[in-house]
Amino acid sequence: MSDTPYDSPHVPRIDSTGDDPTDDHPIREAPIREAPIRTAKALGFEPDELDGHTIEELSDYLDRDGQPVDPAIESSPDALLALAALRRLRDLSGSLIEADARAEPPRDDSWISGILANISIEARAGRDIPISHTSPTARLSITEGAVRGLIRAAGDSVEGVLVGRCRLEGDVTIADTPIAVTLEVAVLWGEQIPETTARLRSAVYSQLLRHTELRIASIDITVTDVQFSRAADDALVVGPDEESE
Amino acid sequence: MSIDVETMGYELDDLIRSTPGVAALFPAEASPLALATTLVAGALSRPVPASVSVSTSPAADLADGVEVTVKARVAVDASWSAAEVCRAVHDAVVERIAADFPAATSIVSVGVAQVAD
Repeated sequence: MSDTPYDSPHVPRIDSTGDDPTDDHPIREAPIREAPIRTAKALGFEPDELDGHTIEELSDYLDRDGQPVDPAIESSPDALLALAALRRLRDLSGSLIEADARAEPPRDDSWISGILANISIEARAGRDIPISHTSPTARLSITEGAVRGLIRAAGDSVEGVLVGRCRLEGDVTIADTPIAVTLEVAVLWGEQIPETTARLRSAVYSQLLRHTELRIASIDITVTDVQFSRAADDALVVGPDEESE
Repeated sequence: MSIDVETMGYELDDLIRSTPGVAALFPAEASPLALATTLVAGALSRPVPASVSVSTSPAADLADGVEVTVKARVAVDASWSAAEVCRAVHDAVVERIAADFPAATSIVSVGVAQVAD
């Protein structure tokens, strides 16, 4: 695999036709998508979202390795949050897509479409979450989108986890209000789910504690999917005895 | 006393970008409608080419009672604390305005729009 992150197996892109225009990965031996990817409109993407950028446009920008530089994208926090999430998703999902390609029968990849939809929604600025200051004239805040972005980054940094959806429940605009963080994640096959979710909860909590003043009442994690990684897929094919030789 | 909001905007732009932990400064949000409303109300307010929004009220050339409103949106490096960097940016801006215009009252808004990996 190439060292450049943008060369890793791509995340299926979403366009208005429902086709994946970059469907040329050499490892892909079998169609991995039986159900057509939903259209951008069906997923709720609108051109005026993400500061005027669509998730498809941002995916193209990643494909081009950010060249030529688009000042409108680079100066948009919403677009940058979505780009960061797309980049991690692309890196993390590469082996999953390869495994999907060899699986019989081909599996539905709607889980990736769902993640893309959530990235588009979560990257928007959303509510302003207050940051305290002793001065009465200070107006300090961090956007909900920025917080969701750091939660997603913390989750994706936990081995064996791919964050699908992230929400902050409660009135985050009022300081000291108890907030529940709800996460939906996919876990790689072979991971101990209780241990993995404990590591995830710890990673998310430490990041929220470091960057925000939110009063976290709970971090509720739902494992919505178990995915095969390439390594796990190989292990199933080769078998543990042969692998150890 | 006279406050040149454009010059101040550039100065604060440099100041904020150089604050430790600030990864980027996003363009100021300038709503044409809000701007027109402010101008009709008689105050001087205009977006500046820099990324920091600066406005003064009730007028920039009054010696006393000038209120300077500054708005900035930043990205914070993930290795820092977003809350701490946000406060540091605020304090740096307030300190600069106080040094240049001791009679002015500053209202400073700092929003963290991204925690950058």
